[in-house]
Amino acid sequence: MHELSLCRSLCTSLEHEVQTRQLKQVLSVQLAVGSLSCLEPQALEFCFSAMAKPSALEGCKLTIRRQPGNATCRQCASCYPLENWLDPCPACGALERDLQGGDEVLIEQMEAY
Amino acid sequence: MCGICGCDSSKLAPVFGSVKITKAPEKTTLATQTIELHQDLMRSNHHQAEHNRDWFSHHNLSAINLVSSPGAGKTTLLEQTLTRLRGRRGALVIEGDQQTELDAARIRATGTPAVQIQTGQACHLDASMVHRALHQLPESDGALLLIENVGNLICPAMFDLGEKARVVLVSVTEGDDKPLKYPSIFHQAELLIITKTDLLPYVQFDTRKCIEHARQIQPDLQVLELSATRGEGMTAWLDWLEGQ
Repeated sequence: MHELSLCRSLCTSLEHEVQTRQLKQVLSVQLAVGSLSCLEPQALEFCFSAMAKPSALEGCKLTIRRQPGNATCRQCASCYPLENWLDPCPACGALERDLQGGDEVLIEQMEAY
Repeated sequence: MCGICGCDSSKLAPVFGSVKITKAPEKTTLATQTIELHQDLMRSNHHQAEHNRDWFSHHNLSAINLVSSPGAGKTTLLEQTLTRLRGRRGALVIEGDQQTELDAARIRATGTPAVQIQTGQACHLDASMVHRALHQLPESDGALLLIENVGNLICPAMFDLGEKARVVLVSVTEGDDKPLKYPSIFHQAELLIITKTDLLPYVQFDTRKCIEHARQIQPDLQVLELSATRGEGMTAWLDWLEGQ
């Protein structure tokens, strides 16, 4: 359940923004989660709701946008989006590839007043 | 109503803690703003991992992160490795477990300084835990720092500890399809060690298939096969460590 650790980081980051920008209430936050990351969106949502304290984050809506990975095929050099580790290159069917991304977790934006 | 089994899911108790019932924000006259952040959620761990890397480099430490499911034989491999390394190269160990000092005690019995990190709720080591453990270890420039992660093939994958190399262990008492089931950790590993090979006559484990599966995820993965209790394959492992 490393989602719990990540939720702590998420709340810390949001609280930091609230303090430095002198915000009163965070209404929503949007994350981009790479499809090759080891994050389970439902677990993240559950942890987030469980960690909401009476604070500027209370009632904040969490939106998670899944983002496919990018890979370059080692056989034919095609670039293609990668949803799952075992998806072959759509051009030549090879599995050997170099990943260009897909395991990242970004706080994209927040809506607040 | 739950669509799977028909239970009244609204009456189910939360798994842990209490889920706060959220309230609608009060009406306000303040203007709502959209703030673009584009922040890496892992950035504090990355930052700490870079700090650890600087520390390792400054003290000429080679840090190796050992990951596997529970029971794959990480601690036994470490015990046998440290016994063989004695007099050849200094070593330090960081042990990660949810609870107990048991593994650190086994490591200390080999004469190697060891710090046990009890992670409590956490299912992985993170860079700041390793940083705190470093402060409890004696200064030992040029040593090998072996970090035994919490037994888990999922969560440790997301946490860079600042290590030089990540080593993943699969024992022959597990399924040879482990790499396909837990691809992330295999993707990041430099070396796969297949452990407990002395048990191969008694179990259904296809070593060739396991290696094939792992290389579908990570084509550059190096592989060693060994039995720490019998000593078979240990020389190749010690040679690999020597090169780190």
